[in-house]
Amino acid sequence: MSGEREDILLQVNHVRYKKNNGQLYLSQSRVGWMMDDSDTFAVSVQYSDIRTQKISPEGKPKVQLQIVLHDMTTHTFHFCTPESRDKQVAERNQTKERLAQLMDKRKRLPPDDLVEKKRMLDENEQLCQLYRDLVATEIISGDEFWKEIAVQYKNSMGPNQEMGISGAFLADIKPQTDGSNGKVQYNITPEIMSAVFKTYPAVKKKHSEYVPHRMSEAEFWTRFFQSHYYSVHTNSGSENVFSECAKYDDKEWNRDVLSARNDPMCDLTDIYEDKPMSIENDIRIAGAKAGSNIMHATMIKRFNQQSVGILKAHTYTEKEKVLDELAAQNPDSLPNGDAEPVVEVQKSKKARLEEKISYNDLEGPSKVESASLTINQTHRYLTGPTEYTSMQSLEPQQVTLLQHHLATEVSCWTPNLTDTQDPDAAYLQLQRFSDVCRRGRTSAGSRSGDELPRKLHKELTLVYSSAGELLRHFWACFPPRTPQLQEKLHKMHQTLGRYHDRTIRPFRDMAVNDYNCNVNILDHLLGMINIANTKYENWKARNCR
Amino acid sequence: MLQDEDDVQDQKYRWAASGYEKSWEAVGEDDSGRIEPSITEMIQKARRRRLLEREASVRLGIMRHVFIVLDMSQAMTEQDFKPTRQICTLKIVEEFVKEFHDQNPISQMGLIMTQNKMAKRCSDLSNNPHRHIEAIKKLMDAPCRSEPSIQNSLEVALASLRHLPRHTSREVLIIYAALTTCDPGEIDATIQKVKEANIRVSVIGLTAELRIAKEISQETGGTLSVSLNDLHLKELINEHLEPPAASVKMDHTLIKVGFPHQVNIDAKSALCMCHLDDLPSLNTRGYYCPQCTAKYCDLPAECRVCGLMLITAPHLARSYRHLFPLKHFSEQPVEESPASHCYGCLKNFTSSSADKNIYICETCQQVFCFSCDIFLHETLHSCPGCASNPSISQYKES
Repeated sequence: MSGEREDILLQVNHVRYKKNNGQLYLSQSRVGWMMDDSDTFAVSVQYSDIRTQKISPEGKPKVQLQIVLHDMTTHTFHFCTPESRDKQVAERNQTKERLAQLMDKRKRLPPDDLVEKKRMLDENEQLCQLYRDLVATEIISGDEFWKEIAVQYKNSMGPNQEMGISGAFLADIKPQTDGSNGKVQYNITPEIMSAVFKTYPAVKKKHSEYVPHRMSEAEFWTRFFQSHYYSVHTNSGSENVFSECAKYDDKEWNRDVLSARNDPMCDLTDIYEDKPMSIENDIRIAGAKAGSNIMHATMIKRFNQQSVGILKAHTYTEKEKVLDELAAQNPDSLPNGDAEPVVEVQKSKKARLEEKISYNDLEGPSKVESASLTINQTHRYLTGPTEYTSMQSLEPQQVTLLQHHLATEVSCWTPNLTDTQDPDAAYLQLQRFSDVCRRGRTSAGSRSGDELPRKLHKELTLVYSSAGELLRHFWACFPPRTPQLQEKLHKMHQTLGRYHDRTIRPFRDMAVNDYNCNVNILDHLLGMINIANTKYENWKARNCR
Repeated sequence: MLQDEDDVQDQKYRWAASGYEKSWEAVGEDDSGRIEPSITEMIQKARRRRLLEREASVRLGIMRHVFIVLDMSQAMTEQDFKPTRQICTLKIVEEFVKEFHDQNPISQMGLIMTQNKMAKRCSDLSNNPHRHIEAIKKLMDAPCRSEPSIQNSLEVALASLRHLPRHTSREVLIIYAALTTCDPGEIDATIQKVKEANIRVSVIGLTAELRIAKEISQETGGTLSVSLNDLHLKELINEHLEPPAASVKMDHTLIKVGFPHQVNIDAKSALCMCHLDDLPSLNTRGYYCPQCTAKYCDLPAECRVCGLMLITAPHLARSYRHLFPLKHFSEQPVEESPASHCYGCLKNFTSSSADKNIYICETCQQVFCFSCDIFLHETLHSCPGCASNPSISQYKES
């Protein structure tokens, strides 16, 4: 607290927290509550930690405001000005609005700590298991785990996607008719609500002000749709909730129309055969022919406003995101606030003209430039590596002669039965051969395969899984070109050593003692770790020379 | 004013008189009233043309990482491809997946589906076709609704493809039936990102050609095509079995590859690393990685422990047909044929047969019919005439 210059933006007296009287302060970066006769803040919460705020409903005797943080803890403040209840309500509402404004400014997405981690562990069985095996037994620290292993899983979860707003989102709200009394029911889902908020920011503001205490959700939305669809008759006084929104929309529309670039190739005012009289009159732009009927023109204007609203709602965030990415790549060259982002494809006039007059299909096939490939020694591809021997080439006559020769040799060959092996020795050899064939090649394999008890088998797979993960990180360090990689390599070597001591040895002892099985089951895994160690030793020997 | 009979007959509409080409007349009916033969003929002509265009001695991107984006929106419930577009397309994609892994053993493939304005990755990049086929089977029963989003699907593909090494060929194949796309932001920005990451995006449309699809495929160097019927769709998708020509921006590096032996004399029993989730059995069946001795049941695989690519020599040899392609046969009218029957299938070249041209291999001078020509060039990749002629096959110089 000391050394911080914080301006107090709002101070409310007579606020109770946990049955103590005190004052509530709203400053630039946080909200705090101080007890009477004390000069330290008992409660101090940054705006960025607040997830949402809630207020008690109208009818309750206590006028309360509750703040909910990202990690689900809550603070409840009770406004108890002795003057009058209305003053309490007024103070509370004022606090709430101010807090909402300040929160909006500081809003950031939930940090990737506990909530995020919990979600990842819940969704990924494997990750959960790895966590238990590696971190719980202190083979690697928690930080390392999240930094290295979990990152892989996070990447595999895919990017956060936003949903676009369909152009027909209002039209797609299909009503359900209640057969009996002819009432028509519209189901408004949260998606539709968020789409409306994104398209019409004025409506969003109104919503946060009016709901839930001035009017219920259902009423708000009924009034919204009535005002939207029967927009012509806005001068009927009962609907002035949304007349402000309409005015705000009109102002935005005028601004947009004026800022629309004067593009000679895409001039919408040029499409009518009789020119409109003036451009400022937006109803004329909406439809000169329809100008005779004000209702149609207003409806068309509404459609245009909605489309522009949809386009603006997302392109702004997209530009910001791209600017952020560009800034992240070159931290030294931050783009100027007014500069056009590199992303926007500004085609020159010449390019656009060319595009309009040339048609791809009519032109001849264009040569795509591709890298060429020349193969020099093709015989290396077609035959395996052979020793370099001088090739003796034969004449065709010689070949026929040799063929003839071979044929005669074969036809007059008789077996020489005296010069053969001793029959007993031959019989022994045959027996040995057939024995081996009978056992088959897989005999070595099925020795310890299906005889493992199930629990041990499961333990073994878990050990393999965690060992595999560690080894993966080890091998990923090769070749260690940068100092960080070398550092990591040293660490991984030590980690493997620890793993060997803490997990493999006890496992082996358990396997022998409890299950009385062959010690060989861990041989392969130990072999893998040995190879890793050997590689490390070799590298160290080579590098420390 | 009344007009004469002749004038009424000659009277054409204004748009017709101005030389408007009636492209639908290219598809005619044959004697039995079916239009399918004319479409197959079109397909075959296109195939032959494509084979001619493909040149040898072009560097190809043989290590491919391909993402297939499937549109599962409302438009896929249409029934113009029997029984519905969804089922027809998924069946064709299933066969494509199997063929792809057959012909491109060192490549990897992944599946993304887009629906309800979002995109979801159905199966990750891997060279194991079983996972993809399971994902496709699940998609067959999934309902199709709402609108697709091209931007979201490109973002999902980008997230995975971005981190791959630069010497691989990265591709995205979008199979799109809808006529709209509902995106959360400026798609131009995504297209720029995709272009910078060197990803080729090709689009196959089922309904019509979309401007945005054309733009994406042109900017990234991919292809755009629209299918006429289900046979044509199969043809278009199978065009992507061949590795594309490498762009000049692709790096070329030496890749470390391991060739594990199947028979290991002093192998120790081990669990395989590919099935750790399903309790594999402890035995010596399988392939051991030469670098770290982790065991795998099936090749090709990427070693999960040391990252080495494990393949067998036949896998690599399958890619040789691109390096030594079969030379084109010369085309001649059937009347000038030196032989009376095809060397490949023994079909007689009589005047009643449908063949208009015959094809002669330059090296062995044997005569082949049109179907044999396509078969030899696309599937077999060698000429039976050359192979059965000892003077050519054994004493080849090259």
